[in-house]
Amino acid sequence: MGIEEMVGAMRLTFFCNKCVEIFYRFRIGQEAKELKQICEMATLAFKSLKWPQERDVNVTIGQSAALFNTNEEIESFKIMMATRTGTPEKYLNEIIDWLSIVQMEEKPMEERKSNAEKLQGFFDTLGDHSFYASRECQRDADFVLYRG
Amino acid sequence: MNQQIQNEGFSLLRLCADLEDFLINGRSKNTYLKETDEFLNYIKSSLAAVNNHIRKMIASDIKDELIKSKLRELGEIRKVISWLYIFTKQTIDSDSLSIPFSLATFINSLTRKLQNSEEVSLVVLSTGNLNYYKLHLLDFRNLADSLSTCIENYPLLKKDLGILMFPYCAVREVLMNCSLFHEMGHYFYENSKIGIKIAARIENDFFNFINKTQMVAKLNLPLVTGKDLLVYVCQLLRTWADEIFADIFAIRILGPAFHLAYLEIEQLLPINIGENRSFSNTHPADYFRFNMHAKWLNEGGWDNILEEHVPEVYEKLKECRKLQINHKDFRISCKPPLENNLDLEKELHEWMLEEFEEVIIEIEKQIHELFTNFEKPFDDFVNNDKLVREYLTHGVIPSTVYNDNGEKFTPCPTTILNSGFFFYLNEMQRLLRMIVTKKEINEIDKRMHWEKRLNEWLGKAIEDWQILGEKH
Repeated sequence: MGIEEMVGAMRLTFFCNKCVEIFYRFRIGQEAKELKQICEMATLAFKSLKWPQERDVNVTIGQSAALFNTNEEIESFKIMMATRTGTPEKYLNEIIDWLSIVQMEEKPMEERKSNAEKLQGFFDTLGDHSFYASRECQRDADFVLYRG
Repeated sequence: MNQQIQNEGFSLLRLCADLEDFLINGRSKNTYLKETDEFLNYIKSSLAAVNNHIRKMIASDIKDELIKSKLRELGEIRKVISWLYIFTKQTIDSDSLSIPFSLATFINSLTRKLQNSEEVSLVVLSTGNLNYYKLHLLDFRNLADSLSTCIENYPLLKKDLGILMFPYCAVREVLMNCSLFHEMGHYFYENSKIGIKIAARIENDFFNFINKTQMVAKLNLPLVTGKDLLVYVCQLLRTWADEIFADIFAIRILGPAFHLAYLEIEQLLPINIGENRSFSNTHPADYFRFNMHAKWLNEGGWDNILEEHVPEVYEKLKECRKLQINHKDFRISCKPPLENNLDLEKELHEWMLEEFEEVIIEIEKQIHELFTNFEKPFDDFVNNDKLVREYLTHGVIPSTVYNDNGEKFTPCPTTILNSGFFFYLNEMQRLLRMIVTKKEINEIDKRMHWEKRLNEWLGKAIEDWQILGEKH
């Protein structure tokens, strides 16, 4: 494991933390101006996990906009998936649906808030997994800073 | 206020305060290159931003539902501080007298010239590891982007910043430090964004490959496996591309001194050519790298020079030049996420090596573009090599040399390094014969002493070249 894996997992943790806060603020009726942006970024990230089926997400590995760039980040998602019944595809589609409903102003607020709650819980758990992944990387950090 | 957040927050604040004190004390005692000084300012601003952020977090009323995510945030900030902790020490320790000063200055001036920008900042730092490397700043840059969204005033990394590391004992070395030209190549690779371009290309080609071979379908594995494979393929090919780019860059800008420094460090040249043909998760196979070194040394006009000065190295390069990917001379030693399916693994790895050949065509194109109108080190070398080596034989620093007609020349640092390396490998005995020493000094100590002096002379000649350049 190298610096790329560690930073990748850390960035995913920061992203999850941000999502938790924004969905929480939305639920309690506070202004959440970054909601749209964060939902779009998350949708893109989860679609990218369906590669090659959803190859058109237009974010290349290594770009600053990309999440799930390393196996550590993907592993964090897989660990979550393992606790669920049903196929990964179904699970991914479910999350993408939640993200879409939260943004729909025409939907009843209760429904949007209920989806925000699910997303808050989801990102809280995913954040835990990526946090543990980055901690594991740090433990193997003897050569973490190397790029010879 | 939450107790856990307070405990963790105060612990981090103390760490920040200690680092800030260390930074202030260290800076007051030493002088630094401009580039190093700027990096110290960056560390200082990062610490200040983290400090303010934690203070605010400790003072605010955090709702129960957010406590877990805030603790995670503090945990990740601790990792960031642990890096700043390492950087602070390394940077404070890398004052002007503790780095290969003349080489660091030369590398910066070359980079400014190549990039046609005065904004370039290549920071050369000493490390406790017996190795040369460049910090992979793309990741740190992305991390700083993420941090700046959650930490107010967290500074972004300067666009034209590169951090090159050298082993701390090599501060007086010049010849071995020629490896820094390879690290400089990593900086150009990262800065040219060629990595992203290559990643996009690999993704496209890999998509076509797995479609053609039905690899994911054949395995009948769940979703996300495609992405796993893509990450595996992309990471390896991008890493190898970065290394080959840096190698070609170093050969093009410096010449054989880089290859010789590489051999010096790795102590390679094994008898059996069957070895070193494996691509690892960090580097292409050594012999593949030598194959590229040989190709670019040939292109630079160095073949006859190598044959004359270092025939055994030349022979090895010639052997490596014959090795080819399409003759299946190389293999990959990593394990893909293919459920141990050996047939698919073989198919994938063969495709990856073929793809890598295509990537190299792109890299070579980029190098040609980068060095358009940039002088070749060979041109100055043929004019001044003999004079430089003659001066060294007499223990004279070859900053300014005169030919038999009394004409004056100032050899380029690249010539000083290449000629210096050939002198070190072949002509130390000539120098030693000229020097009369007390009987009690044994031959080994004598040679070691004068090898050190040789490195110092070369370093001084590079420094003089820059001073003479400023004068004109």
